[in-house]
Amino acid sequence: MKSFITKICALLLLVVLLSSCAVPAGESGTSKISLVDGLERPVALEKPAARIVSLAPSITEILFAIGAGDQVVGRDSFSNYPEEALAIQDVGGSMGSYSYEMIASLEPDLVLAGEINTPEQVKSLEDLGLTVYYLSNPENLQALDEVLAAAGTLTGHEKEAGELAASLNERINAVLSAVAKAEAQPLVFYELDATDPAKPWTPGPGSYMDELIQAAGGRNVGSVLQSSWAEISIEELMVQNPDIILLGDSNYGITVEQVATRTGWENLTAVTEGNVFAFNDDLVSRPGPRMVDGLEELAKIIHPELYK
Amino acid sequence: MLEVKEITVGYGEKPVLKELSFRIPEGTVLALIGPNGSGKTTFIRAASGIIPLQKGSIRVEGHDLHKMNSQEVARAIAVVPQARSIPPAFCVEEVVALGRTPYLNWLGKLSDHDQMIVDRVLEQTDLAAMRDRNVAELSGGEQQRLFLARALAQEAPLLLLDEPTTHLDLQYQVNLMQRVYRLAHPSNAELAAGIKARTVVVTIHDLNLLSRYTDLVALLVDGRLVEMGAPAEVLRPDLLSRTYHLALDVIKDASGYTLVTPADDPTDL
Amino acid sequence: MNKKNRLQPYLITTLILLAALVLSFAVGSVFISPRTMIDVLFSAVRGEASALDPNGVYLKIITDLRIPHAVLLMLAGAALAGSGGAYQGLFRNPLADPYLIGVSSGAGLGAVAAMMIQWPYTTLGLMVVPAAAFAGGILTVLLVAQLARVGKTVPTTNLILAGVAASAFASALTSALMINSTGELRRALVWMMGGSTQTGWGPVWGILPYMVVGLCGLVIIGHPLNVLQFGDEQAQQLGIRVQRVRWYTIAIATLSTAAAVAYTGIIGFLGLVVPHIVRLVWGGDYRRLIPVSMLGGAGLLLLMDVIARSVIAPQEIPVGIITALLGGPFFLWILKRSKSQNYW
Repeated sequence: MKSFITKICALLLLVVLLSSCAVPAGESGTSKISLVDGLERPVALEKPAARIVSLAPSITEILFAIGAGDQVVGRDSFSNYPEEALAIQDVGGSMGSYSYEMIASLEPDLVLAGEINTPEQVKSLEDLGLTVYYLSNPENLQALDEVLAAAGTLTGHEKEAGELAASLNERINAVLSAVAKAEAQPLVFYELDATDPAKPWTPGPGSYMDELIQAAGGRNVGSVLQSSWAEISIEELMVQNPDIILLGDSNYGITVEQVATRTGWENLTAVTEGNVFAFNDDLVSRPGPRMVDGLEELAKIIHPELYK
Repeated sequence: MLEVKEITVGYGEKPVLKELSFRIPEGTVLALIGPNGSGKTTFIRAASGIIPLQKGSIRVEGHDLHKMNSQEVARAIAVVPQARSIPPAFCVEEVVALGRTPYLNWLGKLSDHDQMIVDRVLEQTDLAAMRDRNVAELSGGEQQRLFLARALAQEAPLLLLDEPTTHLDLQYQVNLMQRVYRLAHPSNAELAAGIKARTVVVTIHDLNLLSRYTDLVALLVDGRLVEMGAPAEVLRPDLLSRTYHLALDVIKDASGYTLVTPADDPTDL
Repeated sequence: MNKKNRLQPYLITTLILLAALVLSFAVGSVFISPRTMIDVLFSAVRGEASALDPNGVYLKIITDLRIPHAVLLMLAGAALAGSGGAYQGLFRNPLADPYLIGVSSGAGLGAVAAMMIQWPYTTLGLMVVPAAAFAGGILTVLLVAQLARVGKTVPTTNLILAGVAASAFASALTSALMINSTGELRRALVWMMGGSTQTGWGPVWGILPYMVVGLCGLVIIGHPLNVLQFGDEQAQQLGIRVQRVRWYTIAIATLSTAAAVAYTGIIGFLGLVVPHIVRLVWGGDYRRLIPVSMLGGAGLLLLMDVIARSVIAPQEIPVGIITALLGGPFFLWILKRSKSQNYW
């Protein structure tokens, strides 16, 4: 009987210990701002964040776009837009790990993490007593609204966020209706990496680029692939024979002239007719307001006849 | 002291030693001779517990080898292998100290008694002056002597030496065999100092060292004991010629020791 | 070896370790002056807030980041160097390192596989990746040992061959997983390059039981390894139970290494180079080599980490890159300078 009671007590103790291990819920009743973030964690702030550290370039762009740029005290190494961001304290991240010391010493009241950040990184920041909000990527262009709204609420710029969302939607709809009048949908190949010219990398179904190309009135060569980015062989590319080639790796020094020198590429229609263009990949790889800039750029390249 | 009873030993299907039996008393030097492949080294490995016996038993001072664990075996039987490659990170004294392993715990700490044994063995094998020298600096003969010293530190009553004279210069061969003989037949002074007579089994190729330095000779052919007895009995021209497929003569030197030499004219092929 | 010489290696490596610890606390992306640090620590001991650290940020940095990080790396460095030395003795091979029979490839596969799934953000969910790494490492070595077995024995050659095969297979699977993932690729790469990905005291408590068992177990294996240098046969003839020593060494080395790798990723070179350096300077007696390597490994890994954290601050280079970059040339330099002829 005694050992049975002991076992029950031990079991209860274990249950209590385990439940206390769970991340405690925030006190939503007393705080002014209360949201649930992308990791399903409840996040609460007394007032809009005044000292923000951004851990992803897309987040930095969003913050500046909604007018919260002055509230950013720290940013990751890759945040390079807008120019004002470069003057803000760098907190690391180029080799996959951030300087937690630096982040802690900035005494932020909010750290914004994105999908490029790992759960361990969020935990480490939490352990330092910091408030972290994990901003998930929008699933598609239209979902940008939610991301902007969340950022607006956290920073006290709900109004600007709303206005920005509305203007972005206007521009998106303008493009959509313009390209709806197009007669054909040109085939577009977006090159992510061609270090091996026989097997270049391209975005496939489910990627932002895929969605943007379609929204801009084109068809993506990569949509026949299985994953959201994959290699395609030059042979397959020759069979597909895209009308337009976009060099997403032009930020890394790839030029239009180089493409013609690659074996097998010289026969592609896009090359022979001079429809190879450099493209700023930052516009489409960072899930933020500049994606709409990217969409407009794409539309102009894919359907120049609509924008004369 | 050593009783080998109908042992059959082999690697897999084919037995190398076939129902081998013999006994030797304490304080004798037994030489195991025979052509290559007759099983001499296999015997050493079986007797030291490396290979299991397929049939039969081996008893040392009445104790069955099969029933002893490796530590007990190491205290009863010490093997002196051929000194081919020694790891260079050791000095002479450290190698001899390893001979005390069967008496040490896992940490390998030497007690005062262990240290005394090591010192005594170094003296006994004339290695005391070189105790701090790295083993790589020793000559072939000194290295073989070092392995002998390590075996002596085990304080085992039975010593097995595997081809100890191969690859050695003549002076080292003789030197080693002299020591081996003295181990089985200590002088009165040594006996008074507490050194006990050991039993030694040596596998050897050179037949001319046998009659001076061994008490018994066992001839192994194809895993079977063909003849065993005093050197003069076993070193017979007819037996040896048959065994080695070569016409051999046996002659006696000035002191009466037996020597073996080819009978035919060496220039006649 | 006289009394003074016997203590010297321990004294020197302990001094290096202490110096490395001090540096580890003192150096970081954020500059904390020695005066500030002392004031902060003493105030904390007295239970007050330091005047130089009104918001407690420095205290947080020191106690929640730097100290646990240093302890974690000390344990990992000791485990890797001690295991490397033990394997060099067990396999009688100067190229042996703690990853020889597959623990690192297995751990990598476990970690990367775990990263492919989105675990819930809870304490248990955050432990999955290191737990999977730990399990992956141990299971791989068990598999390798099973493959290499011949009856009751496990010959060293078979172990090495099976280890190479298992490592290649695990690495191939890991690469396939990484290539197929889009979001987790970077995370996997960073983990594989070595360096702690989690902060705070959690990792330390997580691996402490395994480390204590493993490190203590490694320290006492020296004498049997010495005897084993003469070969399995002679060792057995001297009374050593060769198979038992072999299983024990593999078990204890795998336990320590898997625990290290679980939270610090795959830090290369340290387990290979540190025992060689110790051997060059103080000789190859394993009773001394292993504990001294453990002390030296702990200190050296801390030093390499200081470099990794400060050379291009606030960027933090994964420490595995630094050990590889510095380890090789440093070892060559020591080798050239050494006058010892009879080394291996």
